[in-house]
Amino acid sequence: MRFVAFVKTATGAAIDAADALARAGRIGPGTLGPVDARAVEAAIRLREAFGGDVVAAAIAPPDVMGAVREAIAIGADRGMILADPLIDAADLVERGRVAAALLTHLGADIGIYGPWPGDVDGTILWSAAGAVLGWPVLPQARSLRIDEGEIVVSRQVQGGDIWLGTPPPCLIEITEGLPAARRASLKSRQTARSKPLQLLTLNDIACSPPTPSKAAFEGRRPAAGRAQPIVLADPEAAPAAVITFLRERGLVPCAS
Amino acid sequence: MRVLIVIESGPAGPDGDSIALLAHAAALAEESMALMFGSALHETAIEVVGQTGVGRIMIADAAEFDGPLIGARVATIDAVLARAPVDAVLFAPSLVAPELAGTLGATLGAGVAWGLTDLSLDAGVLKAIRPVNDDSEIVDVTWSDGPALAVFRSFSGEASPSSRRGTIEHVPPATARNVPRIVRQERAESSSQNRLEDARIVVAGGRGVGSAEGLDLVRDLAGAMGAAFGVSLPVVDSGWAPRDRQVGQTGTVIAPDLYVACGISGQIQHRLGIARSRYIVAINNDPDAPIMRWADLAIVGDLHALLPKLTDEIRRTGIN
Repeated sequence: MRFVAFVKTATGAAIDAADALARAGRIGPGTLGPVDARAVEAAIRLREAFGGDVVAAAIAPPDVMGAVREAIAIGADRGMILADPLIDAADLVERGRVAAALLTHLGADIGIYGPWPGDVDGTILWSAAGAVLGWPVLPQARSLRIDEGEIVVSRQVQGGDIWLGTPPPCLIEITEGLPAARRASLKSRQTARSKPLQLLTLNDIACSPPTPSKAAFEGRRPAAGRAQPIVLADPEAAPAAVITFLRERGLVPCAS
Repeated sequence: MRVLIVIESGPAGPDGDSIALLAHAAALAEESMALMFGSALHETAIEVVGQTGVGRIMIADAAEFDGPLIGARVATIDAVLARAPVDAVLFAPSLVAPELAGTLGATLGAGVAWGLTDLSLDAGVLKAIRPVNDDSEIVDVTWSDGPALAVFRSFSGEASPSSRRGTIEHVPPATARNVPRIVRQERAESSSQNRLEDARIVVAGGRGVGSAEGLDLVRDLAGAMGAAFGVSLPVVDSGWAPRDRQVGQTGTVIAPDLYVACGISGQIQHRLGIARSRYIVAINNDPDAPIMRWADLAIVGDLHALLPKLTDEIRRTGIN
């Protein structure tokens, strides 16, 4: 069975690629973030249960190579980067189609990805990918186990938790509720550095170029009427300032 | 302009954002239809028609719609659209709305826009507003081809009673393929004391408190202010507080007069759960945390030093 763990796969480019990459890349493009590392860890655990191999895949510019190598050092069997300038302007649905094409090209049985925190963009992208593939999507997994050949995840919903199960193939969105990644040893890092990484383009995976988005985001301008926060940088003055703030807004009784 | 508005209804009916979006869309479009997912909905639908003036409400009424699975929802929306094509599908804020829109965007080849807060018709062209950059800026959203898929993050506005007599019909849940099955469901026990949803003031702690013990400082402040005590999702995930204390889109959605966030960064799911708070005070040692850009009062500092002083000051002044 083949497990594909996505790392460094930016999403929100439909509005602002720079903003999307800033959010995804707070720790630098070459470093594997903790949520992406959890995705790799989840894939490794599934490999341990089912057998097969783990591919660490990035849909991103080639400068994420260090992150992919770190995923190999953790335990992925190999790594690849789908880097094609044609993807840069793609919207979320088209990115979902590209991700689906990559999973098909790789012969994946399960795709695993980690969101940016509270990431609506990612939800749309991966839902689109699931729809293109015809695969079930298991979102926001807080736990993950295998039960008689079925993937079972728990997800938090308003008012409780729900456990969902499906046999592969499927897409799994992991959260910080799942175990953190194991540490890579010095030796495994050295080994990872010596492994070749695949660099692919859309043409290599037989995916047509993304079509222009039918939703346009234009006319960026300051939001009107939005009050700037009052920022207090002096913690000593804060208690009295908070009480003044509450009183001025009628949230607590005025001083007598 | 013909629009379909997709809304979710819990035991208490659709939330305020959904009602406001319905009323707005009903006033805007020549023809408006709502598709409501949930269970035991008929009475709710009668009420919604009266509140919003929507022309037609289709009720997808089944126990399976109490859960967050999208397969049957997508198939039902597909069936509705096959019978009655529309220019736009508007998704009221809900946990499943982005998943529905992403899936339909792929199957219909439609343009998806998300995070929207307002909607208008400009010379017959549908236009929405999306806040960006931590809400400091906005962009206009338009669609070049239909159907436009619009996912709302929030929608404010008052629905006024309507004399329009909309129709109500039941639509059968469509069968979906390749969907996960529900293995188990657990309801979180909700304590009747200090209910988050009813509280006038909520004081909540996040990962920034550092430990389960660190939450005691937040509890003390809540006690001093006569507030309900809450936490963010990472605190629940860390096992520091029970699930029924979680504030946020996947926990309890709140609308207090005052929300005090201690050591909470303010990621989008948390933000959606507190968006209806009248005032927000944030205490965080990271001046770059998202919440510090949209709180009304942002205090940069170590909450372990600050909270005891604030609690003492509130007790001393006796303002709770």
